[in-house]
Order: sequence, then C-alpha cells, then structure tokens
Amino acid sequence: MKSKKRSIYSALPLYLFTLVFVLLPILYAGFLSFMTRTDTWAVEYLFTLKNYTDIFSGIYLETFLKSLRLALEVTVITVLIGYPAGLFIAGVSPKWQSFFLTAQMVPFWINSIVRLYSIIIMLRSDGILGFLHILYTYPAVVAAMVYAVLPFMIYSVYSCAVKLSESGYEAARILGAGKARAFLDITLPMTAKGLLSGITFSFIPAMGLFFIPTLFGGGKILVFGNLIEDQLMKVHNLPFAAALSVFLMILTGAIIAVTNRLDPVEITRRRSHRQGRKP
Amino acid sequence: MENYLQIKNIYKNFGNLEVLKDISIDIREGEFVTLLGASGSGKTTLLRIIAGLEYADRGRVILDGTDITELPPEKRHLGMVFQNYALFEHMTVAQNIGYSLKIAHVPKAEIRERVNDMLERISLPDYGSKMPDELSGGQRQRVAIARSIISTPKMILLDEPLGALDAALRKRMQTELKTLQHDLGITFIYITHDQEEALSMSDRIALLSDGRFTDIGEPDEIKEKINL
Repeated sequence: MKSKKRSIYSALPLYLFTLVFVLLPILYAGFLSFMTRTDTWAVEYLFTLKNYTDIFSGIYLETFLKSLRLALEVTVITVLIGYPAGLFIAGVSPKWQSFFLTAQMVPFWINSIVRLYSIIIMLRSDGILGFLHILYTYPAVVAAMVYAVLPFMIYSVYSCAVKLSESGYEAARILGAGKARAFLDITLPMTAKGLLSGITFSFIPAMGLFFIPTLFGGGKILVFGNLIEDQLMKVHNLPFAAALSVFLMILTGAIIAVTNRLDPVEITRRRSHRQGRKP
Repeated sequence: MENYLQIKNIYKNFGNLEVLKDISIDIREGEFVTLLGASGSGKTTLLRIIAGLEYADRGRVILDGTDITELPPEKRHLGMVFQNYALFEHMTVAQNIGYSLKIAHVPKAEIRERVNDMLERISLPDYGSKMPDELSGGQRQRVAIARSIISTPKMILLDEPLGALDAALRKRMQTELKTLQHDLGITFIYITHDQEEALSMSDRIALLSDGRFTDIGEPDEIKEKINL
C-alpha cells in the first residue's frame, strides 16, 4: 500500500511535465484549428471549419498526396534494406550484434543537421559522391529520408527477431518446408510485429521531416511538414498551421491503429478465440 | 532391418573445437536408442547432423539404404521434438499438428481428420483451436510429439524432450513416450543427460563423452559400467 502511494508521488513530475508541455499545447492547437485568422499573427475567436476544408483543396491537397507518395516510397525502400539487415544482426553472435548496433548508433552522436550537411557536401558536384548528380532532385530527398529513418526500422526488426528462437524455423524445415517456405510460414509472421512498427516509424517521420526536402530538394520538393512550417514561419497563419498539425496527428493515429491490427500472430489469436467460443 | 540408420565415421569441428571425433553407430528399424552424455559431449550436434540442421565435416549418414549426408532437412522425412518444443506460436494447435501434411499438399478434409485422430491420441481432443501459449508444459510437449509423428516419418529425433517438465510429469511422459514408440514401431533417437531416464526407456544406450562414443550397449550392460 505504502509503496503504491510513493510511486504515485514519484511519478508526479512526469505527469506535470506531460500536462504542461505535451497535452496543453495539443489541446490548444486543437482549439486554434477551429478559429478564424484575421491578420498576420492575429486570431479571432470565431468558430470555423474553413481551416480543415482548405486542407482538401488546391495546392494543399496536391502537396498532401505528393507527400503521401514520397512517404510510401521511402517506407518501401526502408523495408527492403532494413528488414533483412535487422534479421541479419539478430542472427549473428552477441559480440557481433553489439558491434553492429553500436556502429549504427555512432552517427547519432553527431547532430542530425550537421550530419545531413556533411552528406550534402559529399553530394555536391565537387564532392566525392558528386558523380551521382542527384543533389537537389527527388532521388536525393528519398535517399536522405531513407537514411534518416533506416535505424528505426533495423532496430525495430532486430529487437523482435532476436527474441525469436531459431528452432521454430528449424522445426518447419524438418517438417518438410524448404528455406523459402519456412521463412514465409514462420520467420516472417513471427517478426511481422517488428516490421510493422518499423513501417510506422518510417512512414510517419517521412510525412513530417520538412528539413530534408528543404536541404536536399533545393526548395522544389515539399512534404506535408513543409506546409506546416510555411504556415507558421512565412504566412503566420496559426489556425491553419494548427489544423494541418491536427490532421497529421489523426493520420498518424490511424496508421498506428491499422498496423497494430495487421500482426498475423494477433490475427490468428483473435480467430482462434472466436472459434473457441462456438459450442 | 539391421542397419536402418548407419552413421559412419562422423567428424565435426566448430572453429578449433573438435565436437565429434570418429562417431559410428548402426541402428535397427524400430529401435529406441538413447545418446547419453553431459552437456558439451556433442550429443545435440550429432542429432542435428542426423536431422540435416548441421552438416558433418567428414563421414556419412545412411538412412534406409539411402545416403542422406548432403540432403537438406526437408528432404529427409524425419520427425524432431525440440527441447523448447519449438511450437509455432502464431498457429493454432491444429495448424501446428497438421503443418507437415499441409506442406505435402494433403487435401484439407483429410488433414482435419488426421489431426483430430492425433488430438484424440494425445488426449487433447478439444484443444485444436487453442493457441500454444494457452497450454501447460506437458500439453505443449504432447502437441510437439503429435506434430512430429503425424506424417509417419522414417525416424524421430528427440532432444531432451522432457527436460523442462517437473519430476512427476516427467515419469508419466517417459511411460507414455515408450508406449507410443512401441505402438508406432518407429525408430526413436533420444537425447538425455539423465542416466535413470536413459536406463528405463532405451533398447540401447550410446555413451557420449568429449565427442566420442565410450560405450554402446543394452541398459543392463551400461548400468554395470556406470556403477563401476
């Protein structure tokens, strides 16, 4: 009893922090998104849905769809590189596992903007990767985004796969399944949870990481995050920026909800329980 | 058949470590042979070489007149019961048991029938639609055995299958396994480090130490030698 009471008090700073710096700003943004903009920074407290209807019109809708396509492409490439990499790392000896995981983490000791600028220097026409001629083009944006989100995918797949015992795959082989079949029947569904959360952690940042298109696209390519940034920093339209943010948040929630339901382990479990209830 | 499984001069190294050194044994069809040895004696490696999960550096494995040394596991038509059971946690009990039949493209109706027979046989008739993690240790064990015998394999390999069970259940499963093996008439190769278990279940025991067979014989002979 006593220890329970103590744990509530010790968590209090956390709750206060979350309330003041996370929950209140979100609620305020939600409130602002239904208000009317009058002047540059000015907001009139007059209810309107215009901010939301604007998202689905003209240039904004177009940017949203383009951003969705970019995020999808980034996610597909990240899966193709990150999923095998995560499985591979989970399969090597513990010593090599910590080597690969550390090697993957080291770049994060450098500020991400500094890291991205150093890549730009390499991609410039006088840089060592200049022969690629991709800087300030769409492929450069895709590559930089993949670079930014790939560690999340690898770690997410790794942490799921490392808990998986090899013997499930081996049992399938002995029961008659070839390598590919045993992978599809056992390894893939058993690591799907890690893959799906990796997809979530790739897709969502890929919609919002506005500074990558700014740096690598030379201002020609916009993602949804750029719209929010522009509305805030250039147009100073707070209600519309708030509406765009709330919309992105709802979309994020929807993606998380959908991917959570796609885990094959959970799907079979639900089906089995439904059957179990029948007489 | 006298030489159903022939293991001929198997050598296996992991890096600089010599795990198996000149291992040879002939096993009759329908025989219950136990590989008895401490951990690190090489018994699991030998079983995995028979299964096709590892390949020997030298030597041959011949099963039922066919050289299977180079065959991948799926072509050997064996059954294996793992120490941790290795059930497919994302499949129901029925899907687990019927997996090998599904791979072999057996018609669905027949799979259902044979799985139900098997569930009766392991005394878990109403457990087909349950998930593995809803079962007790002993029940998981039975499902693992059912899954390995449903397609009547040429031989069943058991890697310390009772290791995780408590003493009472262990005793009962020993009897059940022995009865099952007798009824099916299938060759069992059984791994354990428990002398008593080996003595009570086996037709023959092969003592493995430091990657070599130190003795092969019937339980009575082996018992005398252990007690010396």
